[in-house]
Amino acid sequence: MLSLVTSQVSDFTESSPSVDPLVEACREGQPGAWRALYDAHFDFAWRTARRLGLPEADVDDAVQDAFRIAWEQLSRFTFGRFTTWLYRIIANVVSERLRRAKVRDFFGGLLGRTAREADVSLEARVEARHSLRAVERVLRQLSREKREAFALFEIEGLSHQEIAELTQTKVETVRTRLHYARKEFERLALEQGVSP
Amino acid sequence: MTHDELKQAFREGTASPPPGARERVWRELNAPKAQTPNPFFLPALALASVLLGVVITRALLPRDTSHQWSDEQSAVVWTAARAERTERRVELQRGAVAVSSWGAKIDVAAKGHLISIERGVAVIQVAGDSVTAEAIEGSLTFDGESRIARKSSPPSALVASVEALESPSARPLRLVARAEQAVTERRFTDAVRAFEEVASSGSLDAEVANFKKGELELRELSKPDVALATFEAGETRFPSGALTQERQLSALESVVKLERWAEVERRATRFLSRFEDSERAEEVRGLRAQACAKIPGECR
Repeated sequence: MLSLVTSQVSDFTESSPSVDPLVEACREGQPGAWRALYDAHFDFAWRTARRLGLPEADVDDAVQDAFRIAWEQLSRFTFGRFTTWLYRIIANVVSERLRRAKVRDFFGGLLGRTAREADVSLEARVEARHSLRAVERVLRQLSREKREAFALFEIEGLSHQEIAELTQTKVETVRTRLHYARKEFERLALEQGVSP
Repeated sequence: MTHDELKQAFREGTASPPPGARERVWRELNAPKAQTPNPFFLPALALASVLLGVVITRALLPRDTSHQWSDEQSAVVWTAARAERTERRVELQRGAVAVSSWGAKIDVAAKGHLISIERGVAVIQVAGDSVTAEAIEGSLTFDGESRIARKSSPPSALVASVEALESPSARPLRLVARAEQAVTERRFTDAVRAFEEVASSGSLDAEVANFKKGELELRELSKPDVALATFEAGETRFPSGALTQERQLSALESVVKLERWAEVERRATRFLSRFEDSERAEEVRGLRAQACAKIPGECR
């Protein structure tokens, strides 16, 4: 597990701040460059989307959207790590999808339909103890800022400094968000039937 | 399961994409993008179209307005009516318009009808396809047909508004019309009162009003003494007026009715000396002779 975490962290902390050669190749239109860039970052994109609380069924579409945006806006990426830039795109896509899901659930509730996973039955609570869905549900209930701080720190294992760079905030802000995110996570997890 | 175990389980469960995900997403990414319609797009478009339609319709359709206009002789008022005024003509499409005009014509065109008000106060109303025109005072013509005011018209805020707008110079004209209406309806006391107000104003009609008042007092109210006082007042105020001869004859007639023969003789003599060629000189000479017969020895 340690090696897994380490490999994940390396996605966010590439040693060179210069522009990725693959990105340059894409800009120059070299055959196969875009596919290589996609292959190099697909796992990272998928994992990030998933760990920000998106249900697995929605992750493929979100990753597809993120890569499409990245491709269309590649000319705007001129400085820094490609992974950091891609992370911002993914975080935006995920946030937008979760927001739309909330709206759908709200209107579904108005129309008398059961909101998606909103109504947690006793059986579901029991199942949730051993399910990833419990964490998904909790993550979705956090605000975007807290969700990012929590996922990057607790799930991805990034440092406060690294999270601050990714989310373009101060380290103190990350600490504060993380503090409140943890408290909220514990409260919401308890509601899901998970003891501390 | 504790929170840490839960997080660890989540970490492991989300560590890598499921088999085939990479190729599946790549295919979708490179496939011609089928536009998935936003479920809110069509309802939003319909709503926006309806709103736009309402806005355009409201902007294009003539709207109800309020309007007040007056000059020296006329006044026009409408509130919440669909109408338009150009100079002395009003095009009325919906609602009610009150018009007051004394001495100058105002035309109101409504649903193919033409209503003209030259001496009167009227309310013209369009409801659906029907047009009603009511003379509140004086008269109007509806498609050339004359209509006079009813005896008692219900009070209306619109009428009050148009009356409040009337120019002071329109007042005597209105009083004259009111007096003439009263004469037509044989309400002589009302007519005398209206003529009195005009006669005491600075209006051009003052002399005529004074004379008409005296005539009513003499002939309709049988008050020759009052009539004589009226004619005397007219003589003092309009010594060279256009009605001097007529006024003196009516004053003479009043004195005859009062059987004040010495005064009859004196007035007749004075009239004949001033209006020697009058059409009625012979008649006055007869009166003088009649008076002299009543006062023997006093006539020269």
